[in-house]
Amino acid sequence: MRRFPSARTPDVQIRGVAIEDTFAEAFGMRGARVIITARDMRWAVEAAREMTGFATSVIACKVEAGIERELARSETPDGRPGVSVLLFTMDSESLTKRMIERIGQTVLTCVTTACFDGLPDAAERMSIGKSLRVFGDGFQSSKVIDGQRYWRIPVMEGEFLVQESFGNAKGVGGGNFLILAESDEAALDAAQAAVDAMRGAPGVVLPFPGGIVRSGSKVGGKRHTFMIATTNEAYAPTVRALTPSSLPNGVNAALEIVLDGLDAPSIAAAMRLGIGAACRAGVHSISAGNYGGKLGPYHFHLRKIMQDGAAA
Amino acid sequence: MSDAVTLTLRGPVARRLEVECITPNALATLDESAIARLPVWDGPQIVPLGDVFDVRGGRSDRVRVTGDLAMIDALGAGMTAGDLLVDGSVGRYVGTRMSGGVLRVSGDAGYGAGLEMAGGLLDIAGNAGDRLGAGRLAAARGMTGGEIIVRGNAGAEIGATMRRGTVVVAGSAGPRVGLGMIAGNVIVLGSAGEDAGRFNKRGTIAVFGRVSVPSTYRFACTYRPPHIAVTVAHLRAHRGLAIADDTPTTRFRRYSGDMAELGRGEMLARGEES
Repeated sequence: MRRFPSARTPDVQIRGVAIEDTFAEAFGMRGARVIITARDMRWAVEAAREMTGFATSVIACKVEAGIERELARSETPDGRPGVSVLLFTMDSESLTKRMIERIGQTVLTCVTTACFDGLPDAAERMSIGKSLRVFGDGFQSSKVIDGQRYWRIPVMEGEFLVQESFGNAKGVGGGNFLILAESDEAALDAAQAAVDAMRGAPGVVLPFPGGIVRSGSKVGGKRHTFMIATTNEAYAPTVRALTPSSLPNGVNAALEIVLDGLDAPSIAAAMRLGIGAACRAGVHSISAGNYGGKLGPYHFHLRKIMQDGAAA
Repeated sequence: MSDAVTLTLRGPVARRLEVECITPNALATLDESAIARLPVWDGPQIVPLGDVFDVRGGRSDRVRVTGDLAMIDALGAGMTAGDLLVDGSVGRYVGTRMSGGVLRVSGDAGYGAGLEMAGGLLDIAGNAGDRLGAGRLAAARGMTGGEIIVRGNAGAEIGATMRRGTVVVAGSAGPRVGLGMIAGNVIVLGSAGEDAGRFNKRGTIAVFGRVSVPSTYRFACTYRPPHIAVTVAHLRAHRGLAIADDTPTTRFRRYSGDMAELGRGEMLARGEES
């Protein structure tokens, strides 16, 4: 069961907000970066939002995904506005499947888009365009440009261009921190500030809606034992009187920020930005979720991150 | 071992000389005296390289060749790696059958530059002669890989029978661009001469200037070819070609052909039809 620390006397504070002496525990994933370009940013963002929809947790969505950042024309392979998307799954096989599904259904279908690999240096490759090309039903063709093969798939407005192979790299999933606040408004204000501060951080995405999670969960269920995950009642303020609570006195709302990234230093850097921004009026303390160090190899110690910004 | 090998032509050459021995990969393993003993073909005769060129340095895969090289043929022929800089204009067959490395010519290149090239980069700052990136006459295949950049104009039959790779001409090209092309890309930023794309099977010929589309091609549509946008972005970013950055938003007329062959090739015409 995922464990959250009990309240204790804090001795590290940022603008009066206590930083708990605990760590976020994260685990290994496989990740890909997809560059979506379009005639203008509107359609690049549209495709990226579709691609990253219903991708909050691998438990039910089979993939976790988010928009990394918008790209200027000078940063994209075809000189058009673009968006960088990161996708994460638990293994390479499923990552390939999800990439084919999502690019095929949400990018190929979106007007004016083209789709490129954002991890060209990754040694492990996935055949994505090579699989999607068959939508062309024999009318597809390929081009090799600067050593990379691209597939041209005829569609009703012209051609959809997709790179043949995409990089598949090690990733880190489940980086997190908790904002414990005096009110729901204060918690949301702090969480939004954290998300705004982390937006565009390289190599990191926040896969939940708006980057914020309100439904912190525990593994399995006590009563509904068939459930894979159920609410973490220790952090649900409305049942504080009915069950042991991890919420300190004066805390009436908690929100969680979950981060997936291409490497631990990227997550640590983003957490530092987010926690720093979340330390504001109305916030009692910042905590994090872990499993006692038994589940994942990546441990992001909050105080260490805030003190030196070093990777956990 | 030296930073670079420098070969300086000792004086004017009356007859054509073939210097296939001058490749960075070959010179990288030889010292100065061994380089000077390499064979140069003077018609049917073999003469030592040192009789023709002053040799400086050895055991380096960075090679610079200078002098009036207009009568020097087959420089860099078959090179597989390294950097070869030709300082000035050069004769025929420069970079023929090269499969790797970078070969730069600061002047013009004669007939058959990059003939049957298989890989690497051939970058010609001036003009190129006929049959750039093509195959030998009657050969089944021309260029099978790599990239040729010509920053000036090019002659006739560029990319003839090419199978893979990319030929880019920043200026204009002569007649019969992509004659019998099997596949690959020929990009002409200027205009193309008569009979472009004849007997093209699956190749792409993109002409930014004026071009006459053969009667054996069929008009498909006007659109923005996404692969041309990627190619142009690559040429701007990595080859320093000053192409207007409006390519991603510019429409081309697409013609399929040559219907006298497979008809799976294409001609993309941006400018007016001549």
